[in-house]
Amino acid sequence: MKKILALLLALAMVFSLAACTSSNEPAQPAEPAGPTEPAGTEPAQTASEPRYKEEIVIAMADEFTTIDPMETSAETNQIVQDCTHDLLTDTNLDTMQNEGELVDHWEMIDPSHWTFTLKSGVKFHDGTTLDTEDVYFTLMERAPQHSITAKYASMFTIEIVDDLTFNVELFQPDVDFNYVFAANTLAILSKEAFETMPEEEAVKIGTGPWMFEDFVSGDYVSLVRFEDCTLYPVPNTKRLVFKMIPEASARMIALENGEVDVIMTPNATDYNRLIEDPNLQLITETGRGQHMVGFNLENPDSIVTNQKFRLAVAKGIDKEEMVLAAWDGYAIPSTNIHCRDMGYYHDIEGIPYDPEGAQALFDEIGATGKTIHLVTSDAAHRTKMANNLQAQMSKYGITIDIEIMQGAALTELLSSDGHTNGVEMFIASWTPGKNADYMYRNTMTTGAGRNYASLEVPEIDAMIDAAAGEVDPAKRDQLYLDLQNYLTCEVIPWVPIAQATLTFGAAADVTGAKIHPALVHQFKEVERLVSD
Amino acid sequence: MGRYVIKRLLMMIPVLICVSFVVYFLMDLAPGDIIASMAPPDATPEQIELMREELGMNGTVFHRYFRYLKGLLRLDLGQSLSQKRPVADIFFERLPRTMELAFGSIFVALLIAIPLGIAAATHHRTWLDGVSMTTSMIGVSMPNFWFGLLLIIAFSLHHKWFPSYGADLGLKSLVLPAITLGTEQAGTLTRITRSSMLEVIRQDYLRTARAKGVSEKMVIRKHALKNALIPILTVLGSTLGNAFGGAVTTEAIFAWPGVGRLTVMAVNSRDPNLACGCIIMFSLLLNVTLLVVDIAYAYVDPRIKAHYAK
Amino acid sequence: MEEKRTYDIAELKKYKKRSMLSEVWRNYKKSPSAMVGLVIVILLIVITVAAQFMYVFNEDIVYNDLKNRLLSPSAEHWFGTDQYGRDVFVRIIYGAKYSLSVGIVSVMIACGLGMCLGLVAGYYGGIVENIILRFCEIFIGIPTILMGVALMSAFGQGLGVLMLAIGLVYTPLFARTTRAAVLPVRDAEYIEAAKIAGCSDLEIMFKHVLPNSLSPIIVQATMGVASGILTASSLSFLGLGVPIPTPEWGAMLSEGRELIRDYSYLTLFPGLAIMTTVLSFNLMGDGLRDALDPKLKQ
Repeated sequence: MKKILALLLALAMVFSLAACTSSNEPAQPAEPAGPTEPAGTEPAQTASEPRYKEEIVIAMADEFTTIDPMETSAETNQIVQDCTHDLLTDTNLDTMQNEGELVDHWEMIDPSHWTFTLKSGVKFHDGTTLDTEDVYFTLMERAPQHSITAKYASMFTIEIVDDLTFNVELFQPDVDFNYVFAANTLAILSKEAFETMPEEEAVKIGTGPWMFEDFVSGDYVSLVRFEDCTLYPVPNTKRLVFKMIPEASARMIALENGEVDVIMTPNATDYNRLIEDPNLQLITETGRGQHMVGFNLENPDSIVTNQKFRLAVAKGIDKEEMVLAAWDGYAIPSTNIHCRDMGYYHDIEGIPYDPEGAQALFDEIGATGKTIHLVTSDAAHRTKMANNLQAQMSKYGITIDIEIMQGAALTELLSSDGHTNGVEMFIASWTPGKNADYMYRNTMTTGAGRNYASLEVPEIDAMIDAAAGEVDPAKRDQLYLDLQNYLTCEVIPWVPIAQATLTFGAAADVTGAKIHPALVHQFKEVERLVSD
Repeated sequence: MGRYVIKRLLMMIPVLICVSFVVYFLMDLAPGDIIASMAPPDATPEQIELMREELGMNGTVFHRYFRYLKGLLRLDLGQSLSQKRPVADIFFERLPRTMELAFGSIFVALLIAIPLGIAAATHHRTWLDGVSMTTSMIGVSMPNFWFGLLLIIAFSLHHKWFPSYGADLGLKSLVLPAITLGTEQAGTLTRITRSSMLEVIRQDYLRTARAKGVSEKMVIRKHALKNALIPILTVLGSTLGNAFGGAVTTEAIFAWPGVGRLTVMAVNSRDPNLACGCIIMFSLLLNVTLLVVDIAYAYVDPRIKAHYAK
Repeated sequence: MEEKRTYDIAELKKYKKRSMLSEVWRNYKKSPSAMVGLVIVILLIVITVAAQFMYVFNEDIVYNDLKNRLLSPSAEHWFGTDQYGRDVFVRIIYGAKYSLSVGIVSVMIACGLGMCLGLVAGYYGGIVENIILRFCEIFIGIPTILMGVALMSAFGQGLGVLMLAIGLVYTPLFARTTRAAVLPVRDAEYIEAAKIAGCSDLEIMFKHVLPNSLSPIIVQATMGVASGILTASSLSFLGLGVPIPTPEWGAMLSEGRELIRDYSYLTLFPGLAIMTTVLSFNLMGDGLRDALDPKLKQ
C-alpha cells in the first residue's frame, strides 16, 4: 500500500507543480468574482428610498479580450468599452440620431471645415478634466499608431482653438462627418494618464460611468461605478460584471436560477419562457443587420451572373417562411436592401413573392436541374436560412450545395477577390455602423472591403458618390431612393431577407439594459430595483 | 535513472518542435485569418497590410513560422494576436481551472471504477459482472456533452443544487462538470481494474493464501487489491490525457474558463500564436505526466528499475 | 504453429484458419453481451442498407415543412418532427450510414496507416522504430479533440474531411498497438526460419508477422469504430462536422440542443442512437478481446 501512496504523492506533486507555475500571477480574487447571492443588497438605506441590487451580472456569448478601444472592432469588446469610455458623438438609442456625447455642439462651416465644442467639466477616472488636449492626443497622436485607427490621419487634421473648442479640417468633404466621431475605436483617452501611467493601465482610464476593475480571460470582466461621473448619473449599481457563457441554454438557466441578471441573445425557443415567467422579461429591438442571400458576380461562367436567375431567386423565396425557420418568426422580412432604421429608408415594394413567376423564369433560362454552390458561416440563424433556402429552391428544381465555414473564414473569403470563383451564392449579413453612405460605400462600390457580391458597376459607384456629396436634403433623399430601387429590383446583388429581432433576457425588475441595433449594446444605466 | 530522465526530457524537445510545426501549418491552411475578422469593414488594403505587419503576420508562412520558432526556442510562446497579451500569461491564468476539472473527473472516475471493477472481477462471469461491465460501457459510449446537458437540466434547473455554469462557487461548481467528464473516464478505468484484478486473483500466491485458509474478503482486500491497483495508477497518465480532451466539450457546456475552451476559441479566431502555444503546452504537460508515471512505476516495480539502471 | 512437416502448406493453412476462427467464434458465443453487440451491429447495417432503398435524399431529407414543425412523437411521426418539420425517425434511420461510415472508414484509414507504421517499427526496430515512436508521441501528446478541431479547421467541413481527420488522429494508436503485438512475434523461430528460407522483408511482415499479431489490432479496430463515432459527434457538437442538411447523428444532436428543454426528444433519439451504436461496437470489441486473448480463456 505504501508504494501506491508514494505513487499518488508523486502524481499529486507534478500536478501541483504544474498549477504552481501560475502562482506568480495575481492570485484569485479574494471574493468570488461571479454571482453572489441575489439577496446581496445595500443595507444602509432609509426605508422609503428605493433599494438597488449592488451587483449586476450580464452573461454574454463571446469572449471579451481587450479594454483598449483602438485594438479592436469586435462588438463584445466595444460593449464593455462603451461602459468605461465615451465618444465625441454617439447614436442616441431612443431617437436613433447621432448626437454629441462628449461634444456639446458642433457646426459645419462647409463640408470640409467643422468646429466642435466639448462639454465642460467632464472628469476622467483618474480625476483629470477632459479638454481638447485629450482629444488631440487621442485622435492625432495615438490613433495613427494603431492599425485599426491609422486611416483617420489621412481623413482629417485637428486644430485646438481653446480648452473646449477645436476645428477639424477634412481632406475630402463629408456632410455627415459627425458620424466618424461615433466610431467606438475613437473613444477619448486621457492624455495625462498616458504620461503618468504605463500604457496598459492608461487605456483603462475613460470618462464613462463605470471604471475597469478586473479581467480574467474566458471568465469575466468586472467594472465598478465611477462616483465622480458627471456626464451620466452615477449608477445605482455598485458593480457590473460581464460573464462569458458561450452556451445559450446555459445562459438561460443561469438567468432562471438568479445567477445572472441579464443575458444576451437567448435562444428563440426560450422567448416564450421569458415572456411568461413573471420574474423575467424579454427585451427586444429590431436589429439593423440586413440578412441576405447574395450572389457572387465574379465568375462570368456561373448562372448567377444572369440577372434573370437572380430575379427568379428573389421572386422565388418565401421570406415569411424563412423568417419562421431561422428566427421563429422574430424578424421583419425585408423588401429593401436599405436597413430600415437608417436614414433615407423608403418603404419600397421591392420584389414580391411570386413562385409561378420564379418557376417561369427558371425554366426560361434553363436553370432547373442546376446545382448552385452556396457558402455561409456556422452561426445558427445562417445555417437555418441555408437549410430553408435549400428546401425552397428544391421545389423549383434547383439544387443548393451548402458549404459551411467559420465566421472569420467566410468574411475573408467573401472580401477577397480572385479566391471566390467556386462560390456562386452566399448567406451573410451586413450591419452598417454609421450612415447611409457607409452602408453602400463598403458593400457596393468597386473594390470595397465588404463587396461580397464583387460588384464592379461604374454607374453604382457614381450614384453613391453623388448621394454622399449632395448637400440639399430633399435631393439627397431622392438620390438614395433611386439607389434603393435600382439595387433591390434591377441589379439584385443580394436578396434582402430580413432584419432580425435582437433580444436580451433579464430579470423583470432590471432597467437600463439597452439593445443597440448595430450590436454595441449599452449598459451605462443598468440597475435592478430590489423589492422588499 | 537520472540519465534516463534527462534523455527523456531532451527527447521532448524535438517532439514539441514538431507539434508546433504541425499546428502552425494547419493554422495557416485554415481558411480565413485573424486580420480579416479584426479589421473594420471600411479598412483599406494598405491598412490591412499595416495591421499584418503590426501583428507580425507579414511574409510567407515559413518566415512567420521561423520567427515563431525562434521565440519558442527562447521559451517565449509569443503574443496572442486576439488578446494582445503574452500567450503564456493567458494559458497559465486558465490552466488551474482545467487541472481542477481534470482531477475532479479522475476522482469521480476512480470513485465509480474501483468498486465496480472489483465487484466485476470477484463475481467474474456472473450477472454482477455483466451489469457492472455494461454500466461502465454505457459510460464510455455516451456522448459526454449530451450527458452534461441532461445533468444541467436535472440538477441545476429542476433541483437547484448546483450552478449551471462557471467556476465561481468552488467545489459546488465543480460537481456537475466533474461527473460529466468522470463518467466517461470511469469506463476505461473500470475495465482495467477488472482485468488486472482478474489477473491477480489467479496468481499463485493468492491461491496459497486461500489454501492457508485466509477468508476470501481478506484475500481481496489485503493481497489482491494492492497489486491490482498498480496498473490502474499507470494508466492515470493517459486518463489525464483523455480528461484534457474531454474537457474541451465539457468546458463549452459549463462555461468553464479552462484551457480547452481557450484552445478552441484560438483556433476558431485563427490566432496562430495562441492556438500553437496552447497545444504545445498541452503536449508538454502530457509528456511530463507520462514521464512521472514511468518514474513512479519504476520505483514500484524493481524489475523496471533494474532495467533503467543498465 | 511452429510445427514443420511435409504436408501441403495451403491445405494445412486452410485447416488451421478454420479451426482458429471456429474456436474464436465458440468463445465469442459464450458472452451474451458480445452477442447483443453483434446483433445490434448487424441490425444497424441492415437498416442502413434498407434506408437507402426506402428514402430519397432530395425528397425525404432536404424538405422543410414548417406547418408541422416540432411535433411530439406520435403514430405518424415515431420520433416527432424537428424545427424544420422533418421527420426525426426518417433522419435517424437515413443518417445511420453517415455515423457508421465515419466510424468505419476513419478506422480503416487509421488501421491501414497505423498497421504499416507499427509493423515497420516493430519488425526493424532500432532507429526506424525510434523515429516512428517519436512521431506517434507527437500526436498522442495532443488531445484527440483538439487535433480534430485543428484538422477540421484547416481542411473545412465535410464527411470526407471528418473521416480523414479522425483517421489521422487515431493512426498513432494503431501504430503503437501493432508494434506492441509484433514485438513478441518478431523473434519467434518461424520468422527466423522464413528469413533463412529467403523470404523478403515485405513478405515476412505481411505473411508471417502480421497474421500472428492480428488479434489486438482487431480488438482495437472494433473499439476504434466506437470512439470514432463519438469523436465525430463531439466535433459536430463544436460546429465542425458535416454540412447541412446531412442527418449525421452528432449534427442532429447539436441542432437539437438549443431545444433540449422543451423538445428533449430531438436530442434524446440521436443521443440514444449514438449511444446504442457505440455501445454495441464496444461490446463486440470486448467480446472479441476475450475470445482472442488466450490468457483469459478458460
